[in-house]
Amino acid sequence: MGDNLIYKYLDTNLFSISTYNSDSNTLTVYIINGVSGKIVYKFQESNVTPGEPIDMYLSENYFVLTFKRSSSSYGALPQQEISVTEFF
Amino acid sequence: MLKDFYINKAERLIQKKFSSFELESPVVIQESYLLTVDVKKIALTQSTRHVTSKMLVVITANDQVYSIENAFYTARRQHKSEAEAIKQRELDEATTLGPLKEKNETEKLLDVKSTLFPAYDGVIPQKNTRFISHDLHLVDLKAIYTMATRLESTTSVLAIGHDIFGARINPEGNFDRLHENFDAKFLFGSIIFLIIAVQAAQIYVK
Repeated sequence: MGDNLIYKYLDTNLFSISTYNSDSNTLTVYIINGVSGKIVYKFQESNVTPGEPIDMYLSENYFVLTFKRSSSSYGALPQQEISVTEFF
Repeated sequence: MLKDFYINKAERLIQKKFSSFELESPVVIQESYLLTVDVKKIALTQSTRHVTSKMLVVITANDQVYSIENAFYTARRQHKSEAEAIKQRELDEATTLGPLKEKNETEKLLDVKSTLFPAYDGVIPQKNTRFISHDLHLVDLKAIYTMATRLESTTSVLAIGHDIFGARINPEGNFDRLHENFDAKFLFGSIIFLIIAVQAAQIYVK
């Protein structure tokens, strides 16, 4: 990584999968290199509202995830969140 | 640095071999934002030469097509604490004699944060002019696709469901297109006028 030049981490073999645990309402996302089988990145989101649409999009060095998160406070509505991950 | 990179042809520019096995682990940055619209499907715009920044296009829960600029959703937006840490590091580097020490993982993360983007804010503000579908009443959209066009600045967006909605969007403005009210007549008129004027001046000089 240079002083004012940042490379994108580009690999066309990357793909993402997500798993949802309906007991703990956690969503786990894996970004995997399909050639070497290495898990490039993995993260978890908690309190994900069940039954609401979840979508992921991986393009170049961007990974975007949208989901709804339930609020811990009583009576509060679930809020739409996006989580953006970038690789360099 | 950039000059060295392009003129001296950095290895990365000329290398033809690529292997997933040799790739190092990436530096990863991640941020979360709250949205003012409910989202069903998302997509990022594509461009032919990958120069134009990517715009996020979404289908909202009430079947509108909405777009978010890269500057607002990028994970490279700086937190206040990060801005301070960068300032402190610059100060340290300026006052240190001799070689600089190796950067650790958290310092590498600071490198990719940029002041070019607005400072971090948890909520992405809603801009009503960013609804690509304007006031169209679309029904039951299910999927959204983006395609690069021959123009670097332009991406076509297609949303499919009960209705089909297509649009052309410019994530960073029309930088490679002439403006709609570009005065072509005036341009060609002045060129012809100059040719005539040059000829006339030649005759006059003789």
